[in-house]
Amino acid sequence: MHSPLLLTLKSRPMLAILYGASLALGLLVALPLFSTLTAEDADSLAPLRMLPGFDYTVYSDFMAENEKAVSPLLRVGRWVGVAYLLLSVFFAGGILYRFTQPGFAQPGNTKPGLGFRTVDFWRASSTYFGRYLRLLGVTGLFVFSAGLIWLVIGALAIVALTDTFTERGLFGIGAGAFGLFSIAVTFILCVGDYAKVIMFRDDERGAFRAFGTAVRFVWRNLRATYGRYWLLIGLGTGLFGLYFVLDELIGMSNWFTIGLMLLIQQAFILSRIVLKVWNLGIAYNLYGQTGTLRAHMPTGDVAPM
Amino acid sequence: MNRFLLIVLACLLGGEVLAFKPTQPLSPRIANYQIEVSLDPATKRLTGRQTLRWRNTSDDPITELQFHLYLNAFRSEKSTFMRESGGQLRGDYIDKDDKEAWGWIDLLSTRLTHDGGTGAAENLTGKVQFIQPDDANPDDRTVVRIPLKTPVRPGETVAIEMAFRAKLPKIFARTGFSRDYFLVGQWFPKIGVYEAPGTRYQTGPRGRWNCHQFHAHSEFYADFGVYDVRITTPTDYIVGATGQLKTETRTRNGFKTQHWHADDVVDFAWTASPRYEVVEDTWTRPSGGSVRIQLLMQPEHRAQADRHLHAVKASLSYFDRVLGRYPYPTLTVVDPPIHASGSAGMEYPTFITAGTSWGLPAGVRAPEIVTVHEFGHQYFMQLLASNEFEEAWLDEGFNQYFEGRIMDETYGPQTSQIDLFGFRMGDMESSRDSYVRLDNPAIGPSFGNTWQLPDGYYGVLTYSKTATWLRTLEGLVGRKTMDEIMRTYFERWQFRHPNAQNFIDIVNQIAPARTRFRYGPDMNWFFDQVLYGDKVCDYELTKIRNRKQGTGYRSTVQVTRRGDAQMPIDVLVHFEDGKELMLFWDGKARTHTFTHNGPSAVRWAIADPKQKLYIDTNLNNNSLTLAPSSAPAAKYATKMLFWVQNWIQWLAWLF
Repeated sequence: MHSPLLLTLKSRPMLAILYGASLALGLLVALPLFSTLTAEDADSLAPLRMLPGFDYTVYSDFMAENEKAVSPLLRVGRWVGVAYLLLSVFFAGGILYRFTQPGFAQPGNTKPGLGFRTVDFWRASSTYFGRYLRLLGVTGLFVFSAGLIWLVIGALAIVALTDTFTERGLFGIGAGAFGLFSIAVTFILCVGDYAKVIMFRDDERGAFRAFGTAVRFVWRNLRATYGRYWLLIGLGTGLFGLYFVLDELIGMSNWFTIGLMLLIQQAFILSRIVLKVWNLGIAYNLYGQTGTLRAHMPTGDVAPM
Repeated sequence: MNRFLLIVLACLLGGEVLAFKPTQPLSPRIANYQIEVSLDPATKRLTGRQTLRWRNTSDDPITELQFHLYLNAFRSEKSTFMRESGGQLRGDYIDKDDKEAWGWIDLLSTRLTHDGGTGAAENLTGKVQFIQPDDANPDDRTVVRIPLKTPVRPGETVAIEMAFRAKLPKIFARTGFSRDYFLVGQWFPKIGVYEAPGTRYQTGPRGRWNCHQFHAHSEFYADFGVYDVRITTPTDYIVGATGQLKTETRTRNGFKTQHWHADDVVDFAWTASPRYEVVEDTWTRPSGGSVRIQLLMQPEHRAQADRHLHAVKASLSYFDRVLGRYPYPTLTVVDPPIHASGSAGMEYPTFITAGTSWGLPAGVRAPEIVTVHEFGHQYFMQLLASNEFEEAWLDEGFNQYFEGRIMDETYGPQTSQIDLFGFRMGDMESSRDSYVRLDNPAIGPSFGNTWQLPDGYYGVLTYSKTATWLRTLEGLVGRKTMDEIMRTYFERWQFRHPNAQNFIDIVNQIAPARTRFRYGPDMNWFFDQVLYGDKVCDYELTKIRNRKQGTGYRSTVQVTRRGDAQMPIDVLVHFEDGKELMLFWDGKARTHTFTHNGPSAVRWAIADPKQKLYIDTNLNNNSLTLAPSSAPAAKYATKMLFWVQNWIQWLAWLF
């Protein structure tokens, strides 16, 4: 696990591209919001009460007057999410390609970003975009189906057992169903990552076929694959906890603390991007070590579509 | 018996003797009930017999009696209650196809005896007539009149013996059963209030019965009395009820009878379930005496018992300090199971139902809110026995106002309802929010018969709007004067039936003098707008201008009245040199411009800086600054940036 992490951390230009995309899309919502808030508070002193902490009355009165100005920005947030989802599909090829570059993967190489060429990154990204888009569809189909099954089972169980169980028991049933839902969904998402690697390393173009191969691979190496996937989720959750602690401790009550929290927030976002790339790196390495390579061994060249 | 012997006997018999010591009546004790009732958990039926000793306190010979038969509200879809509620209340629905779901009460026999039960007797069985004084709905059977052959003379007490049989409904609104849980409220034939001339709005030469049908949103109006109730249930059932438990005896196979006694109350409710976990505690009054608190908790909510106790004790202390003494020795708090949540949040004398759910985080103060609110009804409804049918704002609105005060003082003004993950909301601000966020805050007054208030607005007009304008009244006259008003209202009207005018009279007696007639000789202008009227309050600080004039500045500050309510308002002006000036405007004109000449320019100004006019529908536009800060906008834009980035990262993990 260390090696992909080190390789990820050394790949600063790539991280900068991913982070930059996330920041740019976030700013599409945040900057208009800043302008809207500044303009719509009509030079009132009331918003100052929102500085030490959340003030429901100020918020409620503001939204009552300005909901029509603020709501479209939230809708933009939804579309920004869709855009980034497509971008992450696009970047997946470039990220995996980065792990194939000779020299980059050699232990002891400390030069940051050695071998990274933006043009290769874009080429790889665009090369694999089509097949990964298909894979997104396949993964989404399985996520939806598997998730729905457990949610429906959980809901039916709660309805059927309402008269039998106590609140605590029903909560347990709900939590159990949600747990199974989470396991099913994360398993499929983990499989999706390995399917990506298979499509990349084996030059597999069939999304269903790659997904099937990945299911078998993940299942055979459950601890190494799915276990590590959950480890990264745990790490991300821990970072989230740390963020909330810092948010509580620092607050955002003046320009200095606002600036400080902005840096912390962005560091947190960067850490999430690192986790995502690291996860792909782990999958790439693991499949390379234990997977059955069929046709195409990575050479650093991008396989043409 | 000599005094020494009495003392010895008292010592020997201990608490039992003390418990039965005759109590000094606190109330007129007009309607006194002795009831025997047995519950059949299998059929959900009650079989009862009661003797009501009722006194005619008017100067009128009374030729008929009127009784509530509340449980008939659940007799069919055609009752007034069901028509008004549409078969749903508080999110719970009655299952119309389930025969078990319905409830009813039948009078089996009625017999009246004059002269306190020693005079001539009159068999009234068969003379009972259903009446519909509110809406002429012939299918409503919640009120009966019983004509008398011989009128009840002024001052005479009559004994009315009644046998009844009732079927409890499946709980969806306040009362009934759910599995083996029973909450038995509004269950016995209950006499109405004969309002003698001078009582509330009764101004004619003769009095009249005030006995309304059971409506979806109102149920309480009754005379005070003493209740002796013997409740028979299976032995494994834990019973809680209004008043004190006096004795318990085992009766037939597997049954027990408990004798409950309550003095000076307006109603009697009880509960029975084999599943309760009983938690007991005591609240000690600073000035002496104590109240025994009994929580009947669901076992799975046992971990939240301390939250309930804390809320109860905070309420007891607050009311005792601000309003007056809680005169009863007990308080029972029932925690209904989740499947009977329709019975949560109800008030009966010395007996309330709270409501919570398993695993509720401490930052969501639902059990605290409902406990504080329902306890408050011990004062507003029970001790101050106003007519909920006609003036629900007098109990629900006042109680909502006090709920806000108690919650905000106990749990923080901005965190008393919710304090979770940075989201915070106070109780009082929640009440204001409910009212000011209406699409049309001018939808109606707080005053009026509950069933005739604008459809769907009963809650906000009686609870939220009233609490908000009471907080506004407090802002105008000051907390100290407000407390004096409330205390006077309580002392003058406890154990009686107050109405709006009684309260307004007290406000007019106290407030003008304490505020040095700042708002005029009386406060009628205030009540005309907010209680009887539908005026909307919104003031805006619209303009600040500074013009250089010699070495100083000529500054103008303009305030605009956006709403149609006219309220006096303070304006705080802050100058560049740090000095401040408090100005006053009567708030009547559409706009008002203050002009000031001085050495320093105005930096900012706030209309109503202390938020006295809490009923103002937009408090954000009350201030204006010439040096605005964009820090708040930056804070929330930064947070938005972070959460949008998080959101898209979550999505990115999907691929």
